[in-house]
Amino acid sequence: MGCGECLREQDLLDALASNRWPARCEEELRRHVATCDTCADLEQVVGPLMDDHDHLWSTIRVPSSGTVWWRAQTRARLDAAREALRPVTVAQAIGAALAVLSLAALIWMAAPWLSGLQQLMPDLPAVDIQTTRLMALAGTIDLARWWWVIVAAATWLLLAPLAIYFVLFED
Amino acid sequence: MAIFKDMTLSDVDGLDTPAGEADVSFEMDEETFRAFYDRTARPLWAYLARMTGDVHLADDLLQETYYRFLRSKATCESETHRRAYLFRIATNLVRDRRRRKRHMIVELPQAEDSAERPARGDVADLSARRTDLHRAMAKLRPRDRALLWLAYAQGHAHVEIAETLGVKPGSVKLLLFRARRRLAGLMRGAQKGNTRGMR
Repeated sequence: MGCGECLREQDLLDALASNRWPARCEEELRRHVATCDTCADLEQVVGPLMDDHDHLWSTIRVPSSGTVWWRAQTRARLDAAREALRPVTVAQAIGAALAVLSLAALIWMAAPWLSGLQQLMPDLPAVDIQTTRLMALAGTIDLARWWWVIVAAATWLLLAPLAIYFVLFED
Repeated sequence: MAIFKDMTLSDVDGLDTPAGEADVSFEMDEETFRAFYDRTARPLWAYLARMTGDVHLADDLLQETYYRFLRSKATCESETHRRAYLFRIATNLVRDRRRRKRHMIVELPQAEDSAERPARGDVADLSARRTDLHRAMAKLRPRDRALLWLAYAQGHAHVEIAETLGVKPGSVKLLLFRARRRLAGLMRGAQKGNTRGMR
């Protein structure tokens, strides 16, 4: 016998389940329960649990199987539609991130050319001075030294929309 | 000879369902589901109500449990395995809910229990005993509560309980023994308190 086990447990459980406990069961079992800690615990716990179950059972009102099936079908359809749209949303997020990256790369590549253009035509009014300075600054970035910042920024730009997407669409 | 069968709700629903929006296929067909639901819904609701202490939450979780069950691709060899799988989904949902909402009040007496009824004799004793049980159960760990309810209120076999709660079948007996000891201790304490209160 293992820890706390008693050979009479099943007898007691049967008596409790069949409503024979305590009045209509054998005197010997009653005497045993009075002296056995394991059975005393069992008696203390199982009777109220069974009674609570019976009481609760009489109050249960569950929806019909048809209603549950219909709701499940409706929800499955909505979920299927949402799942079908998921790749589109992901593609949109990635597209937007790539557009931002491309724009940044374009500005970085065009910066020397634009500053050269302004030197050739100092009276050129179309180029905003602030923009030109920014482009010139971009042109001075040492790619070999700051490559990890660029990679981190690119990764962030790619992953951030995905992360936001998964957070917002979780359940 | 034409064979007629009862029209189900989804058949009616399907009559005006546009093409492309037909029934979503579940692993289980509707008739099998209906039979399974009729056998399991009430015990499952009782389990959910006692694990959460909230009948309205039990209603919601019942629907959610069956939805996840229908959507799952798990293959169940037997009715017992299928039922254990259903209860396992319910157990996980209750656990998730508890994690999400730490302050959830568990196992408080429900409205009909807490209402003071003009009860006398045995009815009053039973009512008081139920209240003691609810209070004592509320102090138990969720797993102990589930173990005791499944084993003694719903009469599940140890193997099924192990599958439902995700524990080893061999350890159910010991876990049950410990949970029973804790609950018995709490209930004895409550009874002593009641006796002292009456003096």
